[in-house]
Amino acid sequence: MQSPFPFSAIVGQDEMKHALLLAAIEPALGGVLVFGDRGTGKSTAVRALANLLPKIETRKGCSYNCVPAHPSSECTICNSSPKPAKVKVTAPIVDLPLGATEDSVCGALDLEKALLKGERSFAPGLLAKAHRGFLYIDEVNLLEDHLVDLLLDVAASGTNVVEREGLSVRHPAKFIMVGSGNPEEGELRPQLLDRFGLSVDVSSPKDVKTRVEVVKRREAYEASTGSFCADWAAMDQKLQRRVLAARKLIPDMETPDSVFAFCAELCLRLGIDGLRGELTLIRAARAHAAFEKRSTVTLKDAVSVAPMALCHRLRRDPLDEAGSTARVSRALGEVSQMTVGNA
Amino acid sequence: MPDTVGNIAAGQQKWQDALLAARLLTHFPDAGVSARVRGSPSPAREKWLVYLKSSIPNERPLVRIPSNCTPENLRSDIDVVASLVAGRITRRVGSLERANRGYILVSMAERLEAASASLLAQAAEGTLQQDTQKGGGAIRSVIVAFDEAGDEQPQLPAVLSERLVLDVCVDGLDLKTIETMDTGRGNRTNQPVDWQQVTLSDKQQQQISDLAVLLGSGSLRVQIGLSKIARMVAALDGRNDATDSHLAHAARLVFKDIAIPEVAEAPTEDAATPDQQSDSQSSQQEADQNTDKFPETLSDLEDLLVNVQAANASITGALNSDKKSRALRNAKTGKSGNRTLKSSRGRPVGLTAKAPFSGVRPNISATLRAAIPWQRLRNPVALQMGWTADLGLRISPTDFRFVRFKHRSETTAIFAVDASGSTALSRLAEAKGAVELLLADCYVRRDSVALVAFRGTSADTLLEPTRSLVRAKRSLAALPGGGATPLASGIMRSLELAEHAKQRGQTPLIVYLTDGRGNISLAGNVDRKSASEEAVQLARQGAALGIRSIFIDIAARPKPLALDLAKAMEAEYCALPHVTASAVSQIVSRHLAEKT
Repeated sequence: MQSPFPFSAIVGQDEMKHALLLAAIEPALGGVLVFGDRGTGKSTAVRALANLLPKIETRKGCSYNCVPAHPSSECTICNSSPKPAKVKVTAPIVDLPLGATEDSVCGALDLEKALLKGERSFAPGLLAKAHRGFLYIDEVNLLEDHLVDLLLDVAASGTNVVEREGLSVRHPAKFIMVGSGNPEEGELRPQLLDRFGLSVDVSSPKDVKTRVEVVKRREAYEASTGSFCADWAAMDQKLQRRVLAARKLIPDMETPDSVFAFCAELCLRLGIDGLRGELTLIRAARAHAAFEKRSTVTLKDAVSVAPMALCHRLRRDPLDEAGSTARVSRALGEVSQMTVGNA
Repeated sequence: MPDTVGNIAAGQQKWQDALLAARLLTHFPDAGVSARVRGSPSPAREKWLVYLKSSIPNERPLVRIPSNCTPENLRSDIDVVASLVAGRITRRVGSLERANRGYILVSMAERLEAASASLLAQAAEGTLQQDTQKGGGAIRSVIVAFDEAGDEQPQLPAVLSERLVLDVCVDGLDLKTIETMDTGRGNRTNQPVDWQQVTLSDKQQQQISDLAVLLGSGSLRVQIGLSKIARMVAALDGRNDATDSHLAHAARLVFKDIAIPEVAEAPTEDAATPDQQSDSQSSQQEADQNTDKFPETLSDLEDLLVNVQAANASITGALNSDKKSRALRNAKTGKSGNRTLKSSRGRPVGLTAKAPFSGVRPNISATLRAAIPWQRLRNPVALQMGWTADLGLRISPTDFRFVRFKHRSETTAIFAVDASGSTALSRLAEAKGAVELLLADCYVRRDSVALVAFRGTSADTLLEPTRSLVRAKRSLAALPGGGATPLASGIMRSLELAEHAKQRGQTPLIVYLTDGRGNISLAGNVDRKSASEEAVQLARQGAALGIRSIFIDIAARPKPLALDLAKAMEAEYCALPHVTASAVSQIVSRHLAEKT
């Protein structure tokens, strides 16, 4: 397989790259939603990220991407004896096509085995394939609502439960969900928006130099993929080490009460329903602090991730299209002033 | 007769460009460049296709697919029916795999379903993975999509059209042009070089970027494509460095809306020498025409850019509006189409032996149940000894049973009534009458109706979406009128209701009864200018959300302002100076009936 475009070689789009890295550091964030124009490198970035992350260990032929030490009970490969050899594979990145059906996503009764051998066995779907990797949904806003519900459910619980056609199967499906779409072609329901952890808006760069650089790198990549990737491998490895180190920092991250108070105040001020926003904000702040190689969360971390963690949770104002970022930053200003004043 | 000369030249230009595009496609099949060919079936299109086919290298597969192909047809999969007949696993090779590293021709591409279009888009980009059983590897093909859509018809799904770099138009070419013009195959003297080796100067790259920003709505994909095409044109010409003329050619091949009157210059890919000549010619002409306001020859890219910038407002305006309506159409096909018994979701309503939609899986238990009565006949052993479990079941394709789903399709008609001004009273009365008439009618179809009235400084929902005639009558009894016209608030409130209806799975239809002259802004101030701006903005938003609407102009003398507003919301416009309940109800009924 042709190696994907290196993550570090992506020009600009810093916010999107940052959000993706945070999601990779802290999978509990609940994925990333990238909204914006076409042709801004959304799918390139996701593919690149999967390649950037360390390879995962599993057994040969396993279709559930089982952890060798704890195989899923459904996996016939990993539970057979003798066990197949362990292999290291790139973190999977699974594309969810627009026309996907519930069968193909969740998995279903294995038709050939049922009809030809009379066996009742489960054929794993895309969710099993995406375990320990990424599920990329282009045009998530055009996907059938019941599918999106299902995906968000599985993403949140980490387990895929199939109860139909006489099958009763549960297998782990922990993946980082990345959705992308163009809001002009249809919006996501507010309930669904809320389920995504981070949300970033991307637009194509307007500056000639950046644009020319993008084209140049793309052409260099297409002309000689191998050497281009080799040139950027060092940068990618550096970033990979940073992500890994950050992952290690997360469990022991110290979060001072002032940060909790700040997040709560901010969410109250913005009128965000529910606690999911607050939780995500704190988790994102932790991931951000870990990425910055610190073991304590500061207000700065929370401030810098607040827009991407909160913007999509604001109540929609039909006239105010670009305004949600402004609203968040205004509230940020007010709240941080207040906190500073109190301290 | 300069005009006719110009026309013929323009036609020749178009044809030359189309042929150049075909040469690019066939010379560099691995460059990842796909094309969109506009135009209804015509001799020109046939000839173009013949030319394309004749230049495709023999080892490259060519697969033609219809626009109604489903994702299942495109992808390889296990063929259940064939497997059963053969008694072993039989794989069906999908069109995409057959056309791997080759060409896919899609006829009537504008009718592609979004799912198929996104698969084709992935194949065009080479990001589609083959089935793991076959060892993986990406599928990459050149897509040639024949787009027969006129301006008013549904457009090619944006996910695909975005990835079709070349934009060829073979519409409106007369026979004479295509017959007399040489296809240029015989006289090409210089050998094409590897396009990857072609370099662009910094200035050219900047120009490409400018063009992409101006005409390609800033998309980087367009910019990368344009740069690629420019290098390919130069490579086809046998040059290692692209000239500005190559760039101009590339721009014409990528953007459909820039007609560059390139009269004097001969098609440049014939040979290097005429190319250089024409370059020097054009620069001379440029020097001559420095004072001339309207140069007739624009072969140079610099001029092209200036030209484009001048025409920027109109062209990009047109392009943008095209984009918008395309978005609307997409939203429509994606969200509210096809809500019938063939639906792939909804409430299951019984079984059928015929697949309700393509790609559906048979229901196993129902299939087995259907097969059981036939076992004795199908298995000779069972016929003699009686059937036992170890014999297994013999299932034939005729046993397949599928679950049918019914997706309830409901419509919510939202009336947005202008309750301002002097005619308010009579108008409101008629609107109320229309609502009641409709409700009486809708009860049968289980459609619901809502009413929003706007007057004074705000819009009120007088009637939440309801199916109850009684409730409607009660809440409509006291309906005040008069005052100013907060049109924007009215539109906003209606859109909110429509959004809610959509979330419930209903299809909203907004009926505006107004003269389109708002004078109160959303904030509640008397400000005619911002009021109308806000109204138009909201109207566009409604269109982008894919909400259908009817605009009934009730002004005594209809003004273009209302028509503009109706256009912005992509509504059907009817002028009805004398509003009557029955007329309104007839119009709306017709629309509701169309829907179901």
